[in-house]
Amino acid sequence: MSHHDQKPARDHLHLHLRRSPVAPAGVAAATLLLALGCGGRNPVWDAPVGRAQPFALDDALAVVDPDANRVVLLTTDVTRRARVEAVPIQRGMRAATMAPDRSRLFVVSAGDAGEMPPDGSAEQGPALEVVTTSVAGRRTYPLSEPLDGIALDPRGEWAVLFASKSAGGLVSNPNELLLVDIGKPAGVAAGGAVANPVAHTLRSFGGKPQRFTFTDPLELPGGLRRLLIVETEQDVAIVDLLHPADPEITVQLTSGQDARRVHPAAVAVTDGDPGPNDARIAIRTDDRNVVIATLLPATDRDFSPSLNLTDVGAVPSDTAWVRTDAGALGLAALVPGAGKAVVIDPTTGLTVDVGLPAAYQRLSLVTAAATKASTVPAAGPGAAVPQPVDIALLWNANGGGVAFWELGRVAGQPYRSVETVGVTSAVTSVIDVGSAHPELKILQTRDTAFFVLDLKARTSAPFQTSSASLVIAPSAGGTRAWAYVPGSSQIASIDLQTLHATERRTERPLSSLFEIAASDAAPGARAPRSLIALTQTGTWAAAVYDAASAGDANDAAGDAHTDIAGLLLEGIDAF
Amino acid sequence: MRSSRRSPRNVLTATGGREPEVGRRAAKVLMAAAIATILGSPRTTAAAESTPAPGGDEPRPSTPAPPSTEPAPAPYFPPAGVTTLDTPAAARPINHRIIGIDASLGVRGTRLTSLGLDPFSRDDGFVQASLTLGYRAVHAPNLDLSLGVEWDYGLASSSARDSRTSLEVHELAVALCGRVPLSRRFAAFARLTPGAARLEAQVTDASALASGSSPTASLTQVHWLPSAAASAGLAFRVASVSRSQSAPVFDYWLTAEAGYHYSPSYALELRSEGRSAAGRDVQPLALGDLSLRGGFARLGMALTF
Repeated sequence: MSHHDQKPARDHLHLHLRRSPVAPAGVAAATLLLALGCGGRNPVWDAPVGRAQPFALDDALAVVDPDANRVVLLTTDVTRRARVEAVPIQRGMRAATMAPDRSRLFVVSAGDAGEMPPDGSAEQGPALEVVTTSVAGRRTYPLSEPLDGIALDPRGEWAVLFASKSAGGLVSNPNELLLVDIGKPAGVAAGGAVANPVAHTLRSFGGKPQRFTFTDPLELPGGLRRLLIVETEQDVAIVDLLHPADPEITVQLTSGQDARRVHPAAVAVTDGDPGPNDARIAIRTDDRNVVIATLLPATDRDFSPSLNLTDVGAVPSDTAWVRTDAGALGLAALVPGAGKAVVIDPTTGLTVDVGLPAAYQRLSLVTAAATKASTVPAAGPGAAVPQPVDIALLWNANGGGVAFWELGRVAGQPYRSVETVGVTSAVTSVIDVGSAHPELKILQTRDTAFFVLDLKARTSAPFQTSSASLVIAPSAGGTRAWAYVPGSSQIASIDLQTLHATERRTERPLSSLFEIAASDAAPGARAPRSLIALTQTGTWAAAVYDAASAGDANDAAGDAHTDIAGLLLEGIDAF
Repeated sequence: MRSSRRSPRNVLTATGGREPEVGRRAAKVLMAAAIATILGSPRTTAAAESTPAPGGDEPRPSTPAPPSTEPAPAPYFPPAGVTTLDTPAAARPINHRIIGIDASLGVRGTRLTSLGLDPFSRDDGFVQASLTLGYRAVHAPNLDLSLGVEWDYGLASSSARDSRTSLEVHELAVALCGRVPLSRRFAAFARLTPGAARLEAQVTDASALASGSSPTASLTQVHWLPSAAASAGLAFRVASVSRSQSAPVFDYWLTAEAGYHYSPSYALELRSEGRSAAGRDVQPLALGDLSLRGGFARLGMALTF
């Protein structure tokens, strides 16, 4: 349109405004009304809640709210009053996990990942964030790559970040790891290189990481070390955490002449006897062999694995380092396909087969809890204290029940025979009860029943349930166990001393149940604990009970609770 | 048929003295005629022809219309029972009765920047309907003062994280209004409305406890607050209608005003009570602080007589 075309239009408008007595007021009013519509709201109000995920820290319920870029911390006090705090996290949350001791929450975020940040916001890069109830404990570790997998050290010293299968980048290297020393703050070394985290790219022969195992400190030829063992699809890599940037040691499980690929299934680590040259890593594979790597001195580095391959006759389902008679170290392997267990001498590679009454698939050592006072050999005057013989608990997810396996040598038998317990159901998991009753284990089954197993008395108390989807969680002190069915309104409390079960009803169907410590306990005093029944419908609700009262059938205050609705709406105004 | 359509235009042409826009003028007169019919077939005159500016409730001498430059209009045939004061009657001295009632209906839009509004609205605008009824306590040639009651009602609704939300506001205030005539058609006015506001905030959400009486679970809070508004604006007289020379003159106005609304902020704490239950202590949902503070604009229609 030319200027000649536009001019008459402007004239017409001017004439119209001048002639109309209402027009100025109308234009002013319209302008004002248009101005009313200005100003948007915080976009978090429009964010969905479907991806929110709860974690039970020791002293808070932490809800990761990725669409709102925050973690909602719900803490309680001794009067059951709840406090909700929203902790901002970086945009683009990829993964979250809780420390094994429930002290911290780790959140991995990609940041803006190359996209434009929201209006008025600074650009954010990838980061690992540590969220705690204490402000002083919160840390942020900038990352060089937007990774989305995280594995944590059980001792709380290290975290390893990697690209998992769900990594959404155009190109990513799954063998590129970032090792974060979570005991230290993020640091930048001279020259701009990042000192913490440390980037470590695994030398790959075609595999990519599947599992990570952080070892306890091991007496190695070069001194006391911790190792990170990385299982890929076809080999095992050993990273020295004292020198995380140094090249790793790779244990290849498949020879170059064999087209068939052997995959690692699990590793078991032992420090051996006191001394530096007998730390060993047992690698269970998906074929009939077990590989034992003994870490011995080397010329070009502090240590190097010496490999020993042992055929156990069929595919092993579980392995564990055990102490047999006289404290001799052995590797116990369950071989359900052959209905036996095999004990391997790690020095000679000799094996001893032990027949089992059922095809047990899983094994865990319960020596301390299951040792009867009468079975511990007495030490004579001046004699060395005898090492206890390990006791293993065997169970099977496909049926066959539970058995105790004592690994001491007796006359006529290489190892003491297996003692079965009267549990015939398929055991899906074995749950430790806790400090108050270390001798008790809760056996979850596929049926509408669970068992409380007494390791010392070798008894198993059955409990009938109304649903096979029952969730059981021991209380923090181990005095009772909580049981519930997700979606129902019933909470059962089992007194683990008397084995008496009581029930309470919640006002809403509950999705999950958590026990946390109250945050304002007096110094030195044992913090009272709150029981939180979480309902993950709408914007989530929580009912906070006093854990001691709720679990006590004789306590009339057991029904007293604090009700919170709209949990995921809290704290948005403060953002 | 054709002549009756054109007659309103002719009447307004005589009062305005210039060629108006046909449609708008016709609409005004049609509206005036319709209102007059509803009120019992009063006499109708064109806007500002025989009455002074608002506030001038003194006897209204008619003033002759300025000479028209238009071609002679077609004759106007008023509806049965309705007569105009356009020409012969306008010359007569008239003495209308004054009752002193002001009534207005309007729409008020307030810009609220309080973060507490965010759960209930996607923008900062809050629209209310306003109804005012007042009595002119002071009549003077250049000033009217009236005292009345104003009721405002507004409802904002939105969603917050997939939950339906609403904020319902009732305000009841004393309306103090002063009006000054500016010309035959225009008057300026200022208003002060101290009062009280009742705010009901609600979040309908599945996490709330359902009560027996309500099929949907919600968290609610009802809160009373003092409130006040001050504003100033212009009024434009659209038409004046009277049934006779001694009857009251009904003046119809369009008003536009702007001002500021104030109320103290308060904490939004919504509760979900549900059925009564022993041992339950409800901890309210805290959504921040809300205040109904901000500039506003209001458009309305007013009737004075």
